Amino acid sequence: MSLVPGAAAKAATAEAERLRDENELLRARLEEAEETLQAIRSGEVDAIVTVGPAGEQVYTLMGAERPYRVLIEAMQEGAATLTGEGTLLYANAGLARMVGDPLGTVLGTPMARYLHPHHRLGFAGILATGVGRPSQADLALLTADGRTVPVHISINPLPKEDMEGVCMVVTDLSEKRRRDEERDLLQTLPLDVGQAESFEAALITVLRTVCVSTGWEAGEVWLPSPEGLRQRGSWTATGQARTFLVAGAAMVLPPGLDLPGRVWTSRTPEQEGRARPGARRAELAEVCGLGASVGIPVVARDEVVAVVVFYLSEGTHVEERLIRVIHAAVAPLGSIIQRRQVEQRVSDSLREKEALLKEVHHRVKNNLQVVSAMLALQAHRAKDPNVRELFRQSEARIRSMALIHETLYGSPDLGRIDFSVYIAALTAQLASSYVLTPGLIRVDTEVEHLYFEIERAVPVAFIVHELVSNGLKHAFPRGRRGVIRVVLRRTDAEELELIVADDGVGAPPNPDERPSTMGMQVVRTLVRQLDGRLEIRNEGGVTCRVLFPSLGESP
Amino acid sequence: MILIVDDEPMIRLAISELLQDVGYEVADAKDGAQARKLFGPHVAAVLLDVQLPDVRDLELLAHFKAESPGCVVLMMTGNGPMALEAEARRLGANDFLHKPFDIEGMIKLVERLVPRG
Repeated sequence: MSLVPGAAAKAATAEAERLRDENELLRARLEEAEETLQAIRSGEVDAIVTVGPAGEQVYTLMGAERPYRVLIEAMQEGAATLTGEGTLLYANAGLARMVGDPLGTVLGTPMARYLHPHHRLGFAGILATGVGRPSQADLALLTADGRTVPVHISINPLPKEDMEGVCMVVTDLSEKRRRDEERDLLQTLPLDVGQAESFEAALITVLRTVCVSTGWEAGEVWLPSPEGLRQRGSWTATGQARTFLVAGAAMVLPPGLDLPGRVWTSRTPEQEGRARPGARRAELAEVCGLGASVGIPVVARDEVVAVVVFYLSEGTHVEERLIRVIHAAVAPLGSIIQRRQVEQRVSDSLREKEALLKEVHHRVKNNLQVVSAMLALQAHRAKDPNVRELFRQSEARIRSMALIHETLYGSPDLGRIDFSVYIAALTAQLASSYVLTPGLIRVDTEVEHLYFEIERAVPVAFIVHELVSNGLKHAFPRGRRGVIRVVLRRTDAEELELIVADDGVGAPPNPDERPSTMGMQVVRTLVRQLDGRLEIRNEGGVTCRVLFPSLGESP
Repeated sequence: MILIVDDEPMIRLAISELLQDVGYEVADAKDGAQARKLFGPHVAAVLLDVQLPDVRDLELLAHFKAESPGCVVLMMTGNGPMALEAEARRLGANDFLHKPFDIEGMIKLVERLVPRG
């Protein structure tokens, strides 16, 4: 088949041009479609408007970004994008919930504003790192309503081609932290308290442990007394709170007054955001820059035995749940305080007994002094010198016994007497009684610090009295000078040695010529009572040596 | 005159009698209040118990010495703290009688320090 050659060629050329135009149009549409698809994929398009026979139609996209947005909005964690300087550009509902501000307020706000003041520096650190590479840290938020929320924050850089900044995920650790704190407090506090060396140390342990684990600023313990509550222990790590706690040491709070007084009366934990009018303690806390306070009663045997009060540095509210945990954690103090009260009663009773015993010794000494004074009066008025001497000997013996009570009265241990003290006083007293010319006869003592209970102190004292008196009266006649030596010492672990020796004229060889046998009878009787033995040497004076068993006379 | 100040009546009695026996004129007081009333320039010496119910520390000694510096004051003490004795000496106490003391020794001491009449 053939066409007219000229017309056919023209027709063919026109068709080729149409096809070329159509091809270019289709190619342009394809490029446009690919660009649109890319825009949809990259989230640059929310909806597509089409124009057709039915007019304009809007199709929202159920495209690639939608599931991610749903995921982000639905998750419990806080998610956000921030500028490199930390300003919030985008935040999900989770973050708004966490910081306690409406979403509209959150956007455009510097994230640091929602960080606890103690953690702002830490956040700045991970933000600076996060611009370049992933970083994370455990920090704490301070919410708009004053709560401290422990969080884990992780920061990742955004792709450079998208925008300069970071994306951030914030995980609320409150629940986990709470569980950890509860477990730690409830497990460790009773152990720590049990290991405390003293009552005061146990109080401080409770305060310190609770403050450290909760981040609270200060704590104090108030104990009931007849006048009201008195601060008995306090703890803080900061100087500012210390001033406040020291001021509390001088206060006495009656029932119902201030937070401690109210908790004492109500027997239930209470917290105070701001000081009530007239609440002196809370007002002072505010002046010293402290925040809310929490008062917790410690109950033992249905009685409030203490009120523990904690102060926060920031914030105005403490969760009830945490208060319940602290309430349970401080409970071991109850038994400690009760034990202390029992110890106190025992110690008071012991002190009372000591005071009574002291009074008894004082009165016995006074009574013996009275008897001795009456005998002295009678001796003074006796006409017969022998009678006078007998009165004087009795008076001196009574005085030596009174001296035992006087020494016991002045001794730190009311049950035992230090013989080094006693013999010094006894020999001085005997010398002043018997030595008419001062300086003529010297009494030297070498006595170890040996402590005798009163049952053994009396016989030993009487032996020393009789032997020294004998020496003073008989060893140095007619103004003879001389020395009497008194030694009391341990010879070994089981035996003590008492020596009374003089360098006088010695005893007459014939016993009948010896002036007084009454004193030596007393000595022999008492040596037997001590299960001891007496050795007498009459050579260059008289030396009496008494050896008797030791019964633990160490200090 | 010698003033004897002690809350124990028998001690006051014995000391008074003995001092009178050796020729002294005496008066006695059971506490600080009575002693203050009886004290005056005519009192040459005081035998003063260191523990009296209505007297704090050494205030009576200080009072006597302030009123009459020349008056002899003999303190009757137990084996109490040395600091108290040192303080008493500083306030002018002339000597000490340590209870339980020897009455004869006491008389000798008084005779040495206080002229009769």
